[in-house]
Amino acid sequence: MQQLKLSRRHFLVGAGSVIGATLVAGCVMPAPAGTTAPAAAGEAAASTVGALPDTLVEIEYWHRMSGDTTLLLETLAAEFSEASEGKIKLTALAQGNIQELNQKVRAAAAGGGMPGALMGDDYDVTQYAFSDLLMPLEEYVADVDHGLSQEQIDDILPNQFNRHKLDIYDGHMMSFPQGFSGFTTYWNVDALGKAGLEAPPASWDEFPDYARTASAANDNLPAWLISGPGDRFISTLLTYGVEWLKPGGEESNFDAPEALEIMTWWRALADEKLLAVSQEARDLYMAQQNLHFMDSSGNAVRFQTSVTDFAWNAGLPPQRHSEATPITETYGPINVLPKTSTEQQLAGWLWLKWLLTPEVHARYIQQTSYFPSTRSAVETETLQAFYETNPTARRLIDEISVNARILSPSPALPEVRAVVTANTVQEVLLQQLSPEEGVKKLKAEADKAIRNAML
Amino acid sequence: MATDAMTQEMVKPMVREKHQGRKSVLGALLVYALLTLGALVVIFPFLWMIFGSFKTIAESNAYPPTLLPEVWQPQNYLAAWQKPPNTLGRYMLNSLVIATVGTGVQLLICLLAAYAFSRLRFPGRDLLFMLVLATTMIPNEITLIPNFVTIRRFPLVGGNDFWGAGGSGLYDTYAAMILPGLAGAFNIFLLRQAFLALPNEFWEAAQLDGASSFGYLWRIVVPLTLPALLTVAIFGFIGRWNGLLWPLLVTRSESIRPVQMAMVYYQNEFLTDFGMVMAASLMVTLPIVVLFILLQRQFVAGITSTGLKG
Repeated sequence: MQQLKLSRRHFLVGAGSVIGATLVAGCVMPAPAGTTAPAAAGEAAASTVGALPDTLVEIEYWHRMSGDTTLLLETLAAEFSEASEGKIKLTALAQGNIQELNQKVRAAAAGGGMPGALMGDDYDVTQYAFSDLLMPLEEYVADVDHGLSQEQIDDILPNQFNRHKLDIYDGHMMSFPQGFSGFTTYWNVDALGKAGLEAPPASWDEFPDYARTASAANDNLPAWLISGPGDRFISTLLTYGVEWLKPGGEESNFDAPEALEIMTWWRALADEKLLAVSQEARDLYMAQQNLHFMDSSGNAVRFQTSVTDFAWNAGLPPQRHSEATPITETYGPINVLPKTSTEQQLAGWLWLKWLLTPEVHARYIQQTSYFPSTRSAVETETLQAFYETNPTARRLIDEISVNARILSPSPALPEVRAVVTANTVQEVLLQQLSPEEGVKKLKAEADKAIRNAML
Repeated sequence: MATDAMTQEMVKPMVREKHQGRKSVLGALLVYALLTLGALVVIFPFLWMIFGSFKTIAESNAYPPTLLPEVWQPQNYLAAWQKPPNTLGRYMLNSLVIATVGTGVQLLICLLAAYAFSRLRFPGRDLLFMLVLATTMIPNEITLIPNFVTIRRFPLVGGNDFWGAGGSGLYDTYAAMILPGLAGAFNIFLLRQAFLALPNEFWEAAQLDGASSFGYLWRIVVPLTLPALLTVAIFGFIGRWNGLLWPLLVTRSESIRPVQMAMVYYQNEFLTDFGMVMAASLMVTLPIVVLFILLQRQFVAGITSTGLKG
């Protein structure tokens, strides 16, 4: 019997062929179910909302909440599943912080397994929409069987209902409201009283002199410690009525005269040691080492619990012109509907809609300290009781929530805000750059970041 | 006179010794003072965590902060244990499984690879080793999504067909959390260096005694390079115990998620009960501290023998 002998060359050729064939097959293999390229926005608009099948639809809701809010969302998910009478099973899953959730979504977009509904922050929504991962929502809103009545639409604050109904999405509505917060000023009432002052001025023009007076009456304490210089600079620019991004989204607006104006008075106060950057700004405000703290409205509940040594108050940040229509920045996540299957999308939409029903929304708001996105939620017993013990939070709804709006969305915003603007403002405040040099550098580097993000 | 001179000559070295003795005592005191200071700096965060774990929510959010709690609240531990679904214990058990199995398999793979690269002769060995080493220059962030796709499209499991389609592959399994990183290039490099330090005479003697490559590896190399192996094991265990992003990407069920993901249940956006956070953190850190205390002698020996610095 002849013995078969495999030479090294034959083995290598054979092995190479097998590997090559596998690679070629891998390149042409069909994509796994659920990972097919999502339909373009235009195609999606032509499709119908559809109906739920007789079989159970299982979906996930990915969010970036933590602590007790995670537990609440798990409870709400179970209640929603029960309320759907066996048609939908929804699981709410905590997916880490903002960046980790974003990573998970991008991984799922590449490898499959997108959730039926998703929480995102403003710049995430822009990024996902540009990557064609989201369903426009106007068709769901208008659907006869599953949409919203006019009364329900009117119940939602317009600034939240239209938060991502923007020209950059060709007018499509890409997000649905959840709770939100806004850029708010907190001040030390007792300290201002020593200077004969009651509250910060309505206009930024008066703020520097006001800060000097308040500080002089309080052993020259800093008037304003800023925790995030990039965030606060852009938020302040917005209260001047100036967007950080020019229309069209291809160029920053830091060459606007208002940017130089802000940089100039910030620098003047910094030179007088009345304004500085400090990561402990909130703690120092609570320790009466800082007269003003400007950040999210959600902090009101914390101060209500933790500040016992002095009287404090909160309100709308000063504006460029006190007579102008007030404006402040919106913070906090919203919900979106990823492109999956028709059934999963509908199930996801029904969840988003259910989350805004008055009592459910009220429970979420009570837990998160966000502003409610609907007027009806404020009237629920849950929130009435909550605001009785948190009167400042209730007052801020009227003062802040209706005037809050998002910054012009751009995929470059995280870098422009947290890196470019933060670093440049620091350099100006530390006298490494003049205000003029600062805004020039800010403009150049922000424009570069925008160009890079658009590549 | 002569006696005086002799006495002086005899006394001089004694005085010198006395001076030197004083100097060495002073030097030792200085060294101990510096070491004590260093130890305090290192131990302070742990003390802060221990005392913080007994604070009430009001105290833990107060400013300026205090080291010792005014009101001791030991029930933070029970509350922290019970807070996540299925208790913190479930997450710790998951981490134990992931870290133990992952580290064990990693050790085996790296041991064999390092031995092959250090002792066996085969064509292309050095080129292959350079390729393995080159992978250390690829940032983890870049491999996240390709690894995720590999896990989702792993063939013939999780409802997937041969081409990796139709199901979810290894997604949401312990294997998904364990598989990537099993063949760490850095660990292979570390062990190879330790193996290369062994004199060739050991191998020659083992051959004379009729030992095979595997026998030599198991009976001679492993016992002699135990500190290096334990270093790899400790680094691997700690890395897996502290892993967050990768398990987050490849899991959905709370019942299999590791302990770092339980931490999400403790921190609220605006008002956090830091007493409970500290209690949970202490319970999560404790196994690693115990592991380090048990193996610290071998760990330090491993660090010094492989030329690694912290």
